[in-house]
Amino acid sequence: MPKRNDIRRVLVIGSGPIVIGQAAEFDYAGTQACKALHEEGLEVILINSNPATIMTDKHMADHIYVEPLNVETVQRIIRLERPDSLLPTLGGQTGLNLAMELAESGFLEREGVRLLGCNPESIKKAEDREAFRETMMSIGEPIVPSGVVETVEDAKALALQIGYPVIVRPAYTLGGTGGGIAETPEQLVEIAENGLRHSRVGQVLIERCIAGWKEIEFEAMRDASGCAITICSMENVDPVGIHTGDSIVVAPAQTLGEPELSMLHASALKIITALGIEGGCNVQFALDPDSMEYALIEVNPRLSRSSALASKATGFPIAKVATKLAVGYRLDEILNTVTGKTYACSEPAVDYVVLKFPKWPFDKFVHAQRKLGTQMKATGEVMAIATSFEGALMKSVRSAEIGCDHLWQKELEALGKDALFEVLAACDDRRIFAVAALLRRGVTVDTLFSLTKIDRFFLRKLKGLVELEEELAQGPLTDELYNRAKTFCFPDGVIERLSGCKVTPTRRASFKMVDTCAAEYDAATPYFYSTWDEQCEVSPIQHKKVLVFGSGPIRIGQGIEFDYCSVHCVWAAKRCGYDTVIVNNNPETVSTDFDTADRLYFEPLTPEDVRAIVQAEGITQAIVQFGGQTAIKLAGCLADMGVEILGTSADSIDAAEDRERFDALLKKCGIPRPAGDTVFTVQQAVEAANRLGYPVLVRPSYVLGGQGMAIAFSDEDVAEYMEIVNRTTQEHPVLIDKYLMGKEVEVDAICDGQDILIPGIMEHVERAGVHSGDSISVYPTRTISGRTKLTMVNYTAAIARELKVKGLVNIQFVVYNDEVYIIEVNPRSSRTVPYISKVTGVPMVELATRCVLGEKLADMGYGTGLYPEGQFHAVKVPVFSFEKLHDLDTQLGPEMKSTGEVLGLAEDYRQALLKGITAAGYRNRKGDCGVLLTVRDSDKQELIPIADRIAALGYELYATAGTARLLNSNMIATNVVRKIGEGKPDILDLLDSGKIGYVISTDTKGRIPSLDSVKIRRKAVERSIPCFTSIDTADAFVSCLELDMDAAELDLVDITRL
Amino acid sequence: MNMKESSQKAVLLLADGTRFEGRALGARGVAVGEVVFHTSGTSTHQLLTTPACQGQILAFTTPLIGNCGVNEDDAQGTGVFAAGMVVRECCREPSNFRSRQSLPDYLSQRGVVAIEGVDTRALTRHLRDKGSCRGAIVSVQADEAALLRELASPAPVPPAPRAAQPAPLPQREDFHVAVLDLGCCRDLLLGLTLRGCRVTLLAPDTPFDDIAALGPDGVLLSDGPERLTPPEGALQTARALLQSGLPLYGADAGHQLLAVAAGCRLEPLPAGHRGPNHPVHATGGATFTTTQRHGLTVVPESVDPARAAVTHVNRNDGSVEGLRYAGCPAFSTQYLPDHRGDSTGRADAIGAFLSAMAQRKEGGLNA
Repeated sequence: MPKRNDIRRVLVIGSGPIVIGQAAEFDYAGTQACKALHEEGLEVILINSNPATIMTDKHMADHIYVEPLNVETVQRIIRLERPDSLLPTLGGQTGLNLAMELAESGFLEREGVRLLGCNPESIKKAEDREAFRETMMSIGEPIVPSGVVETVEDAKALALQIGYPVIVRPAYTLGGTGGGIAETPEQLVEIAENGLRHSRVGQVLIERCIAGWKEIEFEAMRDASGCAITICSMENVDPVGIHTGDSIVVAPAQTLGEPELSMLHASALKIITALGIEGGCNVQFALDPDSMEYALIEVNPRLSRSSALASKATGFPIAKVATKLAVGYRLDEILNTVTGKTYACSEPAVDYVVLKFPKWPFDKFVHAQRKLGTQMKATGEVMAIATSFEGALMKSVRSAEIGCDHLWQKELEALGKDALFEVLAACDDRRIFAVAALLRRGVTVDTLFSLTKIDRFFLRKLKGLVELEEELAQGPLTDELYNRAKTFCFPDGVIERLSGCKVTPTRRASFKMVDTCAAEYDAATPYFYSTWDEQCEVSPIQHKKVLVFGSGPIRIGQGIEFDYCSVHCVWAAKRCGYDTVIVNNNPETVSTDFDTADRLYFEPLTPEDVRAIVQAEGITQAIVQFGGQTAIKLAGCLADMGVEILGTSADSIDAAEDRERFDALLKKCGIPRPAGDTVFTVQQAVEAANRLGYPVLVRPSYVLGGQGMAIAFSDEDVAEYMEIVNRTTQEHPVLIDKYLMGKEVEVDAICDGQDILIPGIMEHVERAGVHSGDSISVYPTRTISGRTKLTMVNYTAAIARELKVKGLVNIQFVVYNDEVYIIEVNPRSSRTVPYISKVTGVPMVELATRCVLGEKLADMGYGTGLYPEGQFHAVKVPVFSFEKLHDLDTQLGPEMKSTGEVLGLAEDYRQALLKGITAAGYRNRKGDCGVLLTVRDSDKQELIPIADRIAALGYELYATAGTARLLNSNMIATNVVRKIGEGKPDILDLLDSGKIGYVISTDTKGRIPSLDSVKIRRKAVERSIPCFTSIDTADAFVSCLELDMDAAELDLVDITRL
Repeated sequence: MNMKESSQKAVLLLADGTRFEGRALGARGVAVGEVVFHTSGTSTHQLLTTPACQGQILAFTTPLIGNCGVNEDDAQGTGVFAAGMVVRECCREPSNFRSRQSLPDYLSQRGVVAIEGVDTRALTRHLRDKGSCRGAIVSVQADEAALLRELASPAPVPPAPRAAQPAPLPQREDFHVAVLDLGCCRDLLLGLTLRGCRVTLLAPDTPFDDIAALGPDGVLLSDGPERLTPPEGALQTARALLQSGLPLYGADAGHQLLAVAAGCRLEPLPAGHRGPNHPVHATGGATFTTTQRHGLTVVPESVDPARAAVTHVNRNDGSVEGLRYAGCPAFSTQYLPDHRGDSTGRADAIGAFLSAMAQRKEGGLNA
């Protein structure tokens, strides 16, 4: 590299909050990038609105702005901090779009900021549909017949020309938002309208649908000297037609012969060269399974979900290398630290099979449409590594935490062939299980191929698994059969269940290393996966060590915050002199970067898989409180293995979750809680509800994110919710609690067994009944009296001591009629830990880990008790991905729905709120539109002053008859709109008309897609109209509007200076 | 153990006594050869039929082999030249539109003794640490002690095979290239014929005068089984070619032959370069990815600057990857040129050869 002296200060753009389609992979990429830049001695300025990320930690960058990710804010930061370069390629589509706007407007040039890692021409050639087509045609790379249009009429005409079925792809969007497959002109009109609205540039691509072709991806990299390589090939088990984020993916590609592989490999290199990319690039091909014909589907000139997967699958750190390329290094100058001998210009060689399996939110959202297509729906994914395809598939199924330990699903196995064929045709998340079920019923591979177009290679592998199951069922269970099953990664539990024999293994799993070079070089990567081979490459760490768990795949309720906690725990333990071993199966996260801990085991988080690691490493101590519910569930079995749980004990964890024990505990501490009962059946539940008096809260225990929780107002509600909860076999009783409509307050506390430290008390804008993850959360509190706070501190201390908490504990309070009640105690880290740590300056996970390892809080320099409040207000605002999940009701409730969060920081509360709201994507319409109000009876009185304030801001009000009458009678002018079914035009037409800018819609019921209120809220989502489903959220939002300030006028806050 | 079980078992026995248990694959019998590992997963059939792999037992690091079956169009030579094959898992029912036969059936049909179910990563680590060595795949009753003794003694060197006949035909003829056939693989010939060259295959020890009489525009010294000391007849021809002023290109074994003819020495690599991902750096230029399969390399110190210069080195271990010869339009590469022509241009050795021949034609020079 000619050492560049012209790069000294780099602004890095993060990807913002976690949404479906753009998630944790960018924290992983961004963190690697910041580290790489620091390694080069460069100063790093970071902007990212997501406080839950590791990359927004103080030591990651020199200046960190947790501010809204929009053009205005980036411009202001550039003018303030004067970086000489901008690196946007680690910030997903968000980062790239911002960079493009700044470049195209000439701003970057005017301010003397150079764009690193990409240039606007190459981005345009890849992203702009028309430029992409031209570029590909100019280099002779075949693309699918298509055209770019800007109106629905043009779309129809083009589709006629190309021939149905067609796919609609909006330009400059992520995760396929706003796209879809249209088989008829009617479908095309609907999808095209939606797509044009979603595209930043108002363009959609209409292209011939090549469903059924093989979908093959390559991750490629190229440097300034023109040296180009590919890192990995990936093959989607589900062929073209299902978004890659929703597909099962295998790496490397398995059904490509040498001619096809070389052809596509050469094509990928040709493309990255033609686009002039200096960095990483994702290329997606469609390949005709019956010929050498192929077509380019898509090119992403940036890091992506696939690059995270490719990095973890090969051990090659794409983000780190891309960053080094961006500052001027060549691929042949960057040493591969894994081998210590080879350079980044060596394409990795893989001597195992990797499988990626998506994680969908449908077990939570039972009414959402689960059909898979071109618009991504998965919230996260797991990855598995094995020496066979069957083994990788078996491991990934149990890693996904869907209650399956092999390819067998209770509901599907109960169905007959015809019903199963229907499931297959529905093409949803149950697909692969339906295939397995049909194979068990003797359906042939050829039939399944013709129905699904899944390559026979994979279908035969599935058949092999099913046949092995039959062998196990027939018996006898010989050593040879057992070993074969273990080579396919069958867990002992499944083997025992199928064979009816007890398993007493004389062998153990062995571990092999991921080394980027298929053992060609003697590498020392601390990155392992399990096999049933005899040779084991692990020799136990000869030093005091501790086992830490990651939190599995990203899902609603357990996302990136828990990875933040696991990673910080590892770092803290290292600082305390421990060697660390981490186990996780999520390829998107920092915890599975092999640089994080001393050893990484990429394995399912089940007792048997963990036992193998415990045995191989000689683990005697483990920490489970930082890996969410996934890790907590392992506490019991670890104790059985003779592993000491450091920190809060398994028994204490149980005491907090078991209702009877918990009630006894609270009684002992003299702490009131809402009245409640434990039940197992619907009958018992209804009886309990009537005894307590409606409304009541229905919830399963030992869950996260409020899974299965709901507020019931009637016996029918109770019956409905109990049925849903019981779809998954419940080992523990369901809780029925009296619902208290009070103020919700949340506390995280660190405890060393004696003292506690509370960094901050958070209050929720939304009253009790909305899950804390979905609430706007405010620190410091605004409406809580000193006396109440003291009570909460005392209660926290009492519980922490009673439970013998060592580490973190999270407590949810409700303040009702001036009394403080406890709703829930979680003896583990929680979602709020990352942002509260950043905002208060108290490094919570670090302190908690030190407590776990035996230190005392009093010695840590942060004091004990309630930490003094800072001068800054921090408002956490949840972010949702409703536009991705069709038919999902947006009404907030006790079951969490948000996928991510953003933070607003300011000295003034309302300004902080404004920043948070802005970062979450809400805009101030400044009175130039209408507001639709449709609220439940219990909210009507509170609505009056709010409606008044909205009207005062100049907005036109609309409401259905009942609400309108009430408002009008209170002298607030409101237009009446017809309900659905009262004639046209009705409320849905009003929403379609474009007149409405905001909706306030609250409900007692909801959830079921056919209900009118649900339809209204879904229509709002489709039309991208913000919809507030809690009167409290609406109130907060209106006070932001009243502030009459632009977020651009607010001071920027550098959290490194807090 | 019953007869059926025992007929399934097989073992890979290495010269140092190390055993790798597995299951019999292909023909049953005993196969003896030099055990080497390849990191490519998709070139199995090509490598089995590559003359240069004569006498080698090929072990593949990729766990799933044969997914796409066998198609005779991909064969690099007539018949199977490798001595045997070692894999973790061999696919019984391939799935690919070009597949004509499964790999296990192909192996059985061709009498190739192979073994599957081996921990190929453990084997690769062993070969990497201890170096390539002789070994035997045994899938019938055999006297292992006797085998070990046989493995310990030096391997007999069979005569090098010749390229498959007939050579591919070009669509057009811009040049006539004489090929010194050290055991040339089909792809190398295709690299020429696909780009307008008519080829004439010649025995490696063909006297220079006979070559000159054909009036070729250039001479390709092909790949083939490697020899630490190339045969004297071939060396004589190579030396004469270097004096002749004819454009020359030596690839793989042909590179080694030219190098020795120009006074260099060869030595074995620790574990060979056999895979599609070896980075080669052009001196003063850029780095590109190459496919390689060789176990010998030119000793850098033996390159006499008066006679040759190193033009390319391996970016990972610094070994010699390309030479240019003084006073003549001749060059050679240890790596194999991509017969389709590389899209980035820099790795286009065949293109460079074509240019040299074109220049000579334009200059109107005589041989």
